[in-house]
Parts: sequence; C-alpha cells; structure tokens
Amino acid sequence: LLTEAHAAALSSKVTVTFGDTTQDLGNGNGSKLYKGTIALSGGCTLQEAYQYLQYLTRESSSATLNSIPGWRYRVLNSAYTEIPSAPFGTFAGGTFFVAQGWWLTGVLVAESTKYQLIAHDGTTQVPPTFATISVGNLVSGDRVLVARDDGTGNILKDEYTPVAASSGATSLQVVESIKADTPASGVIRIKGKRYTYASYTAGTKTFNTLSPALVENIVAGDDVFVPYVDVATTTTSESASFTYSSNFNCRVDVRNGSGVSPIIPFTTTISVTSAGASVNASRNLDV
Amino acid sequence: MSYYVAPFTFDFQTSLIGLDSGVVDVDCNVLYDAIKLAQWSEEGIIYDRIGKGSGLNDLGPGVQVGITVELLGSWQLKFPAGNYVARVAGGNLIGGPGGDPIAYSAGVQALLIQSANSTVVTTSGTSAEDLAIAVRAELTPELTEVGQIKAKTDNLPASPASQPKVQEAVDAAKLAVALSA
Repeated sequence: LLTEAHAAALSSKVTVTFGDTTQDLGNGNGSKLYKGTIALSGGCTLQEAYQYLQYLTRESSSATLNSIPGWRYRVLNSAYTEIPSAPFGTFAGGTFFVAQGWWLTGVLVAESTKYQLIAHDGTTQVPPTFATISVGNLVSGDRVLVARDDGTGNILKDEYTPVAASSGATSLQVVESIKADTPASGVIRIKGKRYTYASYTAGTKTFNTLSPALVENIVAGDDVFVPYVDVATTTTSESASFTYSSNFNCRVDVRNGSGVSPIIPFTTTISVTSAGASVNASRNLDV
Repeated sequence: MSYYVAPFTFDFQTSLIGLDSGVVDVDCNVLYDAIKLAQWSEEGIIYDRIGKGSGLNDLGPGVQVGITVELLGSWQLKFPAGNYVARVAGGNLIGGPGGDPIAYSAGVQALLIQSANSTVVTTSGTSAEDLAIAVRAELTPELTEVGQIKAKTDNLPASPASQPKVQEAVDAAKLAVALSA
C-alpha cells in the first residue's frame, strides 16, 4: 500500500544503524567496508524497505538520521555522490539499488538476488546466486553421497591435487583454485577418507580446520574431492547450498545395507543449474 | 581403503574380498550380507557396487529360492594361501573378471558348489536341540531293534582262534550222524 500510514507502520521491520561494518557478500570479492547497516525483519520485502526509507526522508519527516533531521538527510558520507530524491537508494524493475555505503541484512531468500550494494570503496557488489541440491525419499540410516561427476557417470575423485601434508595436519592446501561453487563448509574426501572442513580460503587454496586431523601423510598423487552431500542421514532428506557459478553434473548415491531395510543401491546423475537440483531416491528392497 | 566385517575384508583398491585366516567355508547369504554392509559403509559409498544379489523368493512356509550373488566389476573372493580345500556354498556365486568369482590363492583348492535350482529351508520356533530330540523319539523302535541286533552279533565268535573248535564240533556232529546211519 502506497500510503504514508502504511510506510510508517514498517518502522518495526526496518532498522537503520550508522557505523562502520566490514562484510563479505559471498560473491567472491571478499570483505568490504560499509558505513551503515539497513536491517530488515518480520518478512519485510525490499520494496517495503525502500518505501519506509523514503518515508524517513520525506519533506515532513521528524526522524533524526545520524544527527541530521530526516527531511534534510541526503547522503551517508560526504565523499559520496548525493541522490537527493532517494538518499537510501532507488528501486527499479524489482531491484533495490542501495545507495553507496549501506550494508543490507535480513533480505528474504526469495529476493536474495534482487538488490545490489555499493561498498565504501565505490565498487558495486552484486549478491551471488545460491543454489541448493537436495535428495529426498530417504529414511534414517541411509548413507547419501552427492559429488561432482567426472563426465562419465563416475565420481570426480581427483578434483584437486593436494600439496604434500603430514599426518596430524588440520588444514590442506591444494594446487588448483578452489571452485567458486564449493560449499562454505562441509565434507572433504582426502585419499578416500572422510573429513570435514569448517571453511576454506580461496586465496591460499586451503581447506581449514579439518576434522579429524589428517590420519596419514598425504602426497601429490592422492585424490582429493569435495562432495556436496556425504552423510548418514537421520531424516528424510538431505541438501547442500552453495554459490552458483555454472552448470555441472553430479552423481547421487543412496545406500542402505542394514539388515532391517536394505535397498538396492540407488545411483543417478543430476544436472545442477542456477535453480539447483533435486532428486528422490528410489527404494527397491534388496534381497 | 578397506572395510572389515567378519570374516571378510573388502579392499576397495584391489577389488578383493579377503577372508580371515582359518575360514575355509563361505556361505553365499553371509557373503551377500557383508557386501551390502561394505557398499553402505563410509568407506564404500564412494566406490561402485561390489555385487548384487537375486533369488530368495518365497516358495512357501520356510522355503525360499536359493540366493545368487554376482560379483561386479573386477571383484573376487580370495582365500588365504595354504594347503586346504575351500568351499563356497549356500547359493550360487557368479561374476568376477572373466566370470571367475574366486581369485587364485597358492595351494588352495576352491570348491564352488553351484545349483540350478537351489532352495533355502528355514525353521522357526524350534531349536536344533529340540529337533534332535524329536528325531530320536521318532526313530526309537528302529534304534531298539538295531541295539538288539548289535547285542546278538556281539556274541558271535570274532576271533580266528575259535574257528578250529567250531570245526571240531561240526566234524563230531557229522561223525555222529554217520554212526547212527
């Protein structure tokens, strides 16, 4: 509703805070300095946020923004270019073009790519597209593996070439650049053995905080790959989210060999796009 | 990478299913249960399937078609080297490279017991001891008769040393018959 009353009512959903904050949008550009934060909550849409921010700076505004009366507020930093008609940014074509220096939080998942920022250094920051791979029709006890396909329907087990590492190490450096669509944390298979990593550093090509620590020495000839899902599930579905980079194929394996409900191993290949991918396991009882 | 479930060790690098030392008999049902666990394991999930099983269809109460286990790819069963006869029974084991499901082991003669119409009979609610007692009770008359026969045969002269005396008795009887005539 484009009424002043409706805009005023959005005050509980939009919070404006002035002050430096360094944030990484996850788009591969690393951390950037911003001079203020606009926090959305309560299911607030980007269009509603824009409406409220315009309300704050209307001609009759009695709000105070960074010690400046709202009706007189024009820009976050004197070094920035003013946009007198829209001090917090403009809204066009369903996209919120946030004014320079503002960091935006609490954006709805459905609108996660419907905005763009300008960091303090003047660089435009476009949010990444997140994609999700999900596997359904599972039962507790199933072991699920989703890993990048090697082009022949098999798992790409030599995705990375490790730099030699000793038993006991808790990080692993690789030769190749870590792919942009690698999950921020998850499972890494090193010489076939399952480890978890808490993060990775793209610059140094290193997977950090391995758990457990390496149980054996690793040499350059050993296989290293990062599956998207590699877990013994306790629920009915498993999924993994990551930053979409380009289309690729994954091999999916679901197995359960227990005496209670063994199934014939389910194997398929799925195509992953910017919309992600999903598949339901076929459960055919094994003898 | 390997996975162990007694008495089998699945080596995913060599595609060999090793057996514990001293194990000379392999039941196909036990083998397939182990295969399913190995494929499902944390180690095995990143590898292709080891084998597939078929059969075990119900034919009636307690009776099933026998199992057929097919080893896939280059997987083979490998007994420890030694001088003995190893047996694979309880179903059919097929597959392996070139259709050979058992790898060569020095000194081992592997006996692969196959059947075109194998069945599995299972019992429930009765222990082996109970079955043995029931069988013994059913056969009691026959066992008694066998015991009586055994007692009689035990009384027969068994030593060659008694044979001359028997011969003397026979000769004396013949003489008596001749004199009476």
